[in-house]
Amino acid sequence: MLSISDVEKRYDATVALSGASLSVEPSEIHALLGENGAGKTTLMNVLDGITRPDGGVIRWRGSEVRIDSPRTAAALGIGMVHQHDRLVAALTVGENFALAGESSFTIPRDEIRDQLADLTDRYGGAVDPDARVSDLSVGERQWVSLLRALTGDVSLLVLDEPTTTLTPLERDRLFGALREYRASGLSVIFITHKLDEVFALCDRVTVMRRGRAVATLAVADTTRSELASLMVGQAVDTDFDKHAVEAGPALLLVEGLSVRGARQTVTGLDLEVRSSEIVGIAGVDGNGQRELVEAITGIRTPDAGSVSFGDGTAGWHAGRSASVARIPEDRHRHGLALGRPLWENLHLGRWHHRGLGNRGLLNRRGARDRSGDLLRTYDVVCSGPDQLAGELSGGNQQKAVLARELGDAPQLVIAMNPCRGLDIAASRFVLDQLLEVRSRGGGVLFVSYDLDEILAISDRILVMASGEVAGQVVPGPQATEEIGLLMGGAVLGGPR
Amino acid sequence: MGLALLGREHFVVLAVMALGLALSLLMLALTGADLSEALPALFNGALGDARAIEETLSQSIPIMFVGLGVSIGLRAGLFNIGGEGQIYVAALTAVVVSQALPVGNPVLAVALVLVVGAMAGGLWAGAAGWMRAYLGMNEVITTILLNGIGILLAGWAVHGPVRDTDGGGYPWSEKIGEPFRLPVMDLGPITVPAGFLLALGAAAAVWVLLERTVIGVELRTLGDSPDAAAYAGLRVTMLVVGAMVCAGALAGVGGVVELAGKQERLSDFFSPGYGFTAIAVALVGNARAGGVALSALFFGALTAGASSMERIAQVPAATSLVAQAIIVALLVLARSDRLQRWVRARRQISRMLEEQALNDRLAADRPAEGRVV
Repeated sequence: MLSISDVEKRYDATVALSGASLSVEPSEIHALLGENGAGKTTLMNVLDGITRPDGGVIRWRGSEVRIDSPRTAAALGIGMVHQHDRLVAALTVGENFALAGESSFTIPRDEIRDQLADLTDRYGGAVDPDARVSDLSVGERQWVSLLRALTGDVSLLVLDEPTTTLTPLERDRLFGALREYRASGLSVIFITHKLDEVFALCDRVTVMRRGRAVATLAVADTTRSELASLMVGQAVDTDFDKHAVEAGPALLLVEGLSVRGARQTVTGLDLEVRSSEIVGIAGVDGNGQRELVEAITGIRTPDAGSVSFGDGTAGWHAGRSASVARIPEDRHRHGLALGRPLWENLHLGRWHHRGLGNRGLLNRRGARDRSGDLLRTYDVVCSGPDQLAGELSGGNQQKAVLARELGDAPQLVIAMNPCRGLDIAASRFVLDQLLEVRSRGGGVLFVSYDLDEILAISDRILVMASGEVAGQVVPGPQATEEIGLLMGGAVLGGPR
Repeated sequence: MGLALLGREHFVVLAVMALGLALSLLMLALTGADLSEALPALFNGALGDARAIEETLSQSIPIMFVGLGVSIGLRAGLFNIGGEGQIYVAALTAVVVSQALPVGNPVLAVALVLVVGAMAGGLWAGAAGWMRAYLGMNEVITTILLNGIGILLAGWAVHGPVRDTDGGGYPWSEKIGEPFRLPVMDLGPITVPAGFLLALGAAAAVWVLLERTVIGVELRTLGDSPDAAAYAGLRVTMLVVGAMVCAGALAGVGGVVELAGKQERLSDFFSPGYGFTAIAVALVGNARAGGVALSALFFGALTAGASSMERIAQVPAATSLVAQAIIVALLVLARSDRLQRWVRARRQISRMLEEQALNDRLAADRPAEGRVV
């Protein structure tokens, strides 16, 4: 009923889509699988009329259509749930529905109330039209987005990575609902980069890689490893060189940390990272990981608790000293000054530490020579130390951050989502570097939303839920299951 | 200076200045001014003889000092609109101190007023920096508000406590004492106000600070990405306050030099908007020390030339303000992202065409080579 063929889209030098094709049958759940940056979201934005393609054809029920705005898509019967919901937080649920509907001067409150009641009858869930969106939980907001997408005569529902912020329980409820919709004749495009979800829910799967649809398969006829290799274009390699090392003295000791954050408050958290160990912090995004890291690195001021470092320094400001390597979550915002040349970025905050700032005066020659060495060692593809950091690709930017942070062979590394948005090879490089720190006796606090990464290199894993450490897990056959339980808020070892 | 020294950025600025001047002159012509009389008056007033040159240099001094201060702020991502208030507060402090401490040694006396002026201006701007760093208040707003307070404070003082009772009825202070005044130096063919040499010295010092020190790199990083600066462990609050104190100190020294080297009295018409002209100076100078020195000279020459134009050709001197405004407007336009993207696209196209032409030529050459072999 929907067929997209050979859609192209490029932004300046980057190719977002090149020959993306997809066809969806009635009453099927069709997975669109691919790594971050494979073009899944861009393709769906084309379908929703948000992005204008440079070429390609979209057919809807057999005839060619031009979709130039989300309203056109809605009129055709395509409902879209974006990865980051497009609800206006300051308005109520009902007002958000009014925004999406026919434009009128007054808000038809009664009509919207009836419409919502009708939707919840058909699709389940309970939604209060007068609740302010900012007061809803992430799961509730997603449900509202889903219902809004189902408003009207919808026959194709598109969900863009809907489970990222859901607990396992909320996820199961969503999957159940989608199966019911399929039974009632609705088609679903389910965008994901998680193999599990494809097998748990979907009928067919189209794999995207580098803006191109590389294969469409029936889920029943394929295997995890086939899909994984289609996604990354090479056999997945998870055997990291992680030989057993005895953990040594503590390099980072956090005691009773309480810190308020925008999304989550961390309360009474204790944590220790010792020499020769990688401590993984797992958990769904927004359970206090960012607040934890910001407190340790001295960005956010905690309300209570203490921190001390293996080199004898203590106090929250010590986390910002040059002897602690910090790999930030957002390399664009926190890692690099994008408008400044690499040679400035590569020594940021470390001029004196590296002896490049004698009595406050810059040693420019020394800085540039040292930059050249670092760029070579960390294999950063660039035109030289004078290139602006913002001109590098994402993977090379991350390598530049690593070069700065790891260039002095630090004892302690605080890394948050260091592989975010990187391809397999670049991710592998980053994880290898962290293992290298461990094998020469350093300690790593490794925070990530990607469980596979954490399981691959951590010696022990702390699971964070609602701002607390819900439990500790040691990598092993049962680890994934245990972590899953802890993420959802359960406590290992029976009720407390 | 060879053309090779001129980067794209310099070219843009020069083109914008030329276009701005041309548009202003066009406007003059359209309003019926006699350009054959006005143009020579403009040129002679700015550079015609030793006197004109001295006037140009003299006009460039305060805007060079304040413009250097604005530039430090701009490089650190801070917009100091408070030069005017900083000038007045510094000059007022210098007047009060010169009256309270009758120092006889001219070197000591001048150093004293320069230092207290720098401190007063630094304090005035530093207050805005402190509010930015610790209270999160926008420095654009606070420096504007502090302008009002500073200018009115000086105005009140010259109408009240420091008013010269024998001042011919003008609301101004007594002339500052002889030892506190800055001389005009006779350098052979031209005479140069001592303050101009101080301004050049300040430009050199700002260049070292911004381009050759660790603090300079840190300020640039802060200006480009405050979040990355904080994450890298830079003391952002110190940098913000420090940058504003430096900016204010430079503006303050500018005010004192204007007082000690030229006007000698503080009045409520002491500064004809130097603090605001300096913003244009800093923008045209691309917030680089050398660029600011040159653009201050340009604006000084414009002001000197315009006032001679008014005297000789009866063209209002405000024309120079119009030229200034046009230049700033054009510059902002030229530096806008949209325009730059458009220029980049054009350049890509021309590069493609060049490559194609090259390929065509190579293709045409190849059979010829074949024949030779």
